[in-house]
Order: sequence, then structure tokens, then C-alpha cells
Amino acid sequence: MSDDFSINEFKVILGEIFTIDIQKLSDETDLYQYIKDSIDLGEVVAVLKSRHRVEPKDWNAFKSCASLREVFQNFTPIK
Amino acid sequence: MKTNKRIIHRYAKKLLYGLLCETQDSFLHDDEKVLFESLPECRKHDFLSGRYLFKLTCKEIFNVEPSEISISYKNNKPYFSLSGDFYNCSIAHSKKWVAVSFSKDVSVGIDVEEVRQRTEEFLSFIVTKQESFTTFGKIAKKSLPTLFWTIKEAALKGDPAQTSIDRYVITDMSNKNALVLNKDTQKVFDIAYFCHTGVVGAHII
Repeated sequence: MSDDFSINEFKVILGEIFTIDIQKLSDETDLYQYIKDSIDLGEVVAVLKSRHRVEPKDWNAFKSCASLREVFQNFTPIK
Repeated sequence: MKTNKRIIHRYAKKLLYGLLCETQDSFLHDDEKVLFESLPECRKHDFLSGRYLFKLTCKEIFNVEPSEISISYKNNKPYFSLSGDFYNCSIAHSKKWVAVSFSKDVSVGIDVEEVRQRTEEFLSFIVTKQESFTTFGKIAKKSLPTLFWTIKEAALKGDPAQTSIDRYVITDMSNKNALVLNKDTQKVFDIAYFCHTGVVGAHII
């Protein structure tokens, strides 16, 4: 994981993409409330790739992650 | 949207969740009811709306009771069997929109997306420099990233090789059609698309 990519930074990016007050996001938030379409997921990944050089370890596992923490833990640095 | 060209059937519709919940017993197969109950609340709407539109379509075309058909998954792709025949399916959701497509003979892929403002990073990701040749005509800039995603997603869903979306590139684009190339397999997909206020859709033809 890149040094500057923290779970709080992940929340900031989600807040920006989905126009959410980040105070409403906890580590246990079910991201399916926001990432409802494949395009939403694609946008999250595109922004994280661009800004933090991280990507999902496993796309299928990534899609079935429930909480914000699980999704965050599924990212790995791009080699 | 309702087209019935060759033997690919495609429908898209706006559906209301409340009505679907009240009537689910009339269209879900017993196997699907078990699956539905196991889903988290926030995933139930998409499941019901996709199944409902599918069953409605099957009833119209095959004249079967909706609850007799059960949609299953093989290699992450939906399918159903009817009278000994195997049908490839594709289901797409976006907010209140749902679209379905199925065919006995060929792979199918369909996508529908509501349009909203997207980030610059997403625009760069989905509209590559290779695709900057395209003259976008009357397509609003706000719709562009969503439309490109929708066209590529339809190709990806109907591609047996099914890699990741960044392996697909639009090589030609006209008013209502686009050609999409899988860069790994060199297979080309002919995609029809529509672009209305607030929603775009695409499917393999």
C-alpha cells in the first residue's frame, strides 16, 4: 500500500465521488449503498489508480466485500 | 427501449421497488426466493427488479409462468434453461433502471447507466488517447464517460474471454452504433447504444 493511502484518505475520495459527508462514513459502512453500479466501482478504482497507484487485489473478491474496511484492505500497490 | 431483432430479446424499464416486494411470490422461482432472503437489504432491489423484468419478458415470449424459470450463474454469467434449451442472459441495473437481454444462440451483453457528473480521472481512464479520434456530435460532455463505460461494459458482458474493461477500445463510433475491440483477443463487437437525458444504454447486436 502506498504510504499516503490511508482508510481516512479512502473516505475523503468516496465523499468526493459520491458527494457524501465523510462524517457519515464509518469503517463498517456497507459501500453497496454508494457503489451500486459497476460504473461507480470503476470510477472508484480509476481515481485510486490515478492518485494512489493502488488497485483491487482480486476483482471478484472486491465486488463481494461488504464493509468500507474490507474494501480498503482489498487494495494493493500497482506493480 | 424494446427491440426484437433476430433472436436476441432486449428490454429496459423503470421499476418501483415497493410493488416488486409485494408481488415477488408471483415471479420468483423457489430457488430464487432462498437466494433473495440471503441477500443484504441494500442488494434486494436490484435482484428483484432484474428478475421481474426477465420473467415478464419470458412470459410474453414463451408464454410460461414467471415462477417456473430460475436464473442461475455459470462462470459469473447468468443463464436459464427452458424446455431443454440453454439461454445466455445479461442483466443490468442502474438506480431505477433495469435492462435484460437473452438469446439461445449467441452471447449477449447489455448495460444501462444513469448519467451523473464523473471525475476527470474517470474520464481519462475510460476515454483513452487512442479513442480521441471520435467525433462525439451532439453527445453532451457530461454523458461521455458514462456512455463509453456503458458501451464497453456491454461488450465485456457478452465476451466469453471477459477480461477487464480497460482491455476494450472503441475503434469506430457513429450516431447509434460503435465497434469495440478486445485488445487481447482482437475480437470485435458491434454495439448499439442510446443516449437520452439522464440515462444511456448499450447492447451487443
